[in-house]
Amino acid sequence: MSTTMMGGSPGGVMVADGQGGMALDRSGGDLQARGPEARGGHPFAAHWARICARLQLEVGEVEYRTWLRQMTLGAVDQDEITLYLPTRFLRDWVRSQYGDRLGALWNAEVAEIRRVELALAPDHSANARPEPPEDGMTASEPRPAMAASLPGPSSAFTPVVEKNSDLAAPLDPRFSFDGFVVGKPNEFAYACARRVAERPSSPGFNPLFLYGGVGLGKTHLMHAVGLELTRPDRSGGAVSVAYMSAEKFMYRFIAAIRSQQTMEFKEQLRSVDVLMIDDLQFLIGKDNTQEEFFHTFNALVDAGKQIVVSADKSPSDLSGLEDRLRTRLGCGMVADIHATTFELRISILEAKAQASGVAVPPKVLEFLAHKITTNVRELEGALNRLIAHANLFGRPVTLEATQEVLHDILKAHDRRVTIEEIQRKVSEHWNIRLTDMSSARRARAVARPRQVAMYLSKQLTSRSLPEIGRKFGNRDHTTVMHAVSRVQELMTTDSAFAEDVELLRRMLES
Amino acid sequence: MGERPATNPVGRQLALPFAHRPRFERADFLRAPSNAAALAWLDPASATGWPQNRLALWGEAGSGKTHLLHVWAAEHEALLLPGTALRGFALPSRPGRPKRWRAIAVDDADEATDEAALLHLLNAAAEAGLPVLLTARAAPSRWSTGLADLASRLRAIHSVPIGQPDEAMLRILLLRLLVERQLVVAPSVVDWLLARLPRTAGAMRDAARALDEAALASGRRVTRALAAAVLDDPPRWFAEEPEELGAARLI
Repeated sequence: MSTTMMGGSPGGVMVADGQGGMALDRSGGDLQARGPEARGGHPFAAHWARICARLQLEVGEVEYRTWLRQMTLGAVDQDEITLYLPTRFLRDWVRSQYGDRLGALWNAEVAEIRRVELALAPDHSANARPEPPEDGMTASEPRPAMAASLPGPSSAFTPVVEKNSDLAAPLDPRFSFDGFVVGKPNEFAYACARRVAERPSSPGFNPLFLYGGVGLGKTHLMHAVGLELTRPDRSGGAVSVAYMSAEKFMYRFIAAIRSQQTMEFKEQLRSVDVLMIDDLQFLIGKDNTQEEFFHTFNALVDAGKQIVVSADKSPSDLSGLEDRLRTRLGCGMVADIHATTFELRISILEAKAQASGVAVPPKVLEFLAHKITTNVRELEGALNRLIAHANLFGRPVTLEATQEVLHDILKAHDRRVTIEEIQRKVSEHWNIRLTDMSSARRARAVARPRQVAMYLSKQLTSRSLPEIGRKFGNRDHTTVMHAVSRVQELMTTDSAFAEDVELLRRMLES
Repeated sequence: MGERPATNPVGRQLALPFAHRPRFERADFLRAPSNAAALAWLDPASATGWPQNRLALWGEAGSGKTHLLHVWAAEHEALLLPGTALRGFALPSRPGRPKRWRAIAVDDADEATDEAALLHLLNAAAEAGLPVLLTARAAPSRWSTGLADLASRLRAIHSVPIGQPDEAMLRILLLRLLVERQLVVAPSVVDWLLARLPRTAGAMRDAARALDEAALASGRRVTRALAAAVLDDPPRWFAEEPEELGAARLI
């Protein structure tokens, strides 16, 4: 069984259905809602194209791009045509500034049309929202909010309901033994957990204390034990399991005190066959809760019930816990999970990638296993992000995509490129002196690189144009604007030049 | 018809076209290439695709994070909290059964000082199967997080940046900000400003506010001269901003 968060439907591309949802632009570019009839041949599409061309000439490129390009054609109703705009402000602006002119142009193009209605593009995306189930839920209820109406294991978190569901957290079916990838660093803890799941309350294994750094699989193993013990077809029958985080234990205990139901709380806890407390370190400093836990612990062990506890440190290192509790925690089986090895990381990634149904090239897996060495949670998190990205945008997982999607965890800093850096790289590239970036020399061998540096400064920084000009020998901002348009122009006509500029951009951005 | 001269129909004088009040609604969100990825991730159709049911949006001030968060929260009946409000927080739980939240949204989550509260919130939401959306100035993996359990969860969250706005976006944004403040500004002055301001959403916001204040103080309309005076003073427009804005604040 798979423990992956993603997957299920291969190529599960998220495009709204036939209800006319928003088209999801996979280029990552313009993401505008289109009028329902804009696609597939509007009867006035040709007229509209002519009107647009005309408007472009009349108002100029900038105005056109800013306001009018976003219009899409809507329905025609007798003498009225509807034009859609994506936001309220755009609609109001176009109506106030261009409303009359649009009417006149349409009338000149198609005599029957006398009126233009400017409207907000229907918000399909909001309508396409899956309806939540009728019966709402409280935040604490162990039911998923979205999963009810949405198939697939991505958010499907079908809780296992046990007898003590009032107390316990749901067990996540993804965290099974089958989904646990075993390697040298975790094989001992795995074997202990297996043993407890098969024969709870065996001498020497009670309590079972699992410890290790964050994100190495303690919670996974605890859920796996719980799932195994509550399986209806378990030989010997399912037993009752209460699994909860230490935080929740504390919260419940305090709530019980407040509502004067501590007796009920105690009884409930002591009626289970197996009690599992995750992340015990959160009880440090909470003396009253520790006290309560200590008594519960003793009562259960005395009654021959199994206890499983996890923490980030071994019992002896959990300073802040009462000594008598530490002693009792350490008197059963103590198993630690070590940091992952490269081999284990690769095995984990291979297993998760396979379960996801998305093709992930081996070199991407190796890359991740080399780069993300901290813990399994982050390693799986990174792979899940890649897979989710691939599913959403319908793009294959590649090394380039990996570096782009995981930019924030692969790079040490979100370093912003500075104008000085741009000047330095460009000077090196064309082998000119750095001082020529700000000199008055106008020879082409110097002027062209300087223009490229100005262009890149505008593209890669958010500095104002006057500020960029100042960094280039106190030049005027109009010089910067000229340089930008000159470079853009050259890039369209000279492919070798365009490649140079692109290369520089990539070098600066990496 | 259609024989008008090829001039800007807006003309010299820009009449105050309408009153605009910004609301955090989908119809008020300005779509641009810089926020296309964020919108794609927030599209209801992709909600099931969030790894671990969690997502973080990050970008600089004024980039629209909070707006998107409010839109999403309204559409998903989410409990919406500012990060600073997270303090010993626990999800409302039985037996009280107060409000039926279906999602959790935390604005400025990087400003949460109670790290344990954020950790427990993430855990509680996961347990209840609720999706969580966070916004911040920087990617969660970049926050300086002391609590190791929280740090590793943050590093596993999928984060989507809102990038630098393009020119069309900046122009619309500046005009909208001016309209919101009921300022009458000639297009030539808008062009003049756009050519001189830092190209960020935050700068547009600061400029609109400064112009409004200057116009009010001097009792004059926003002319190029007034705009020039505002840009010169205070000189922060040209002051060096820290290179690593996000990192500097957090690390």
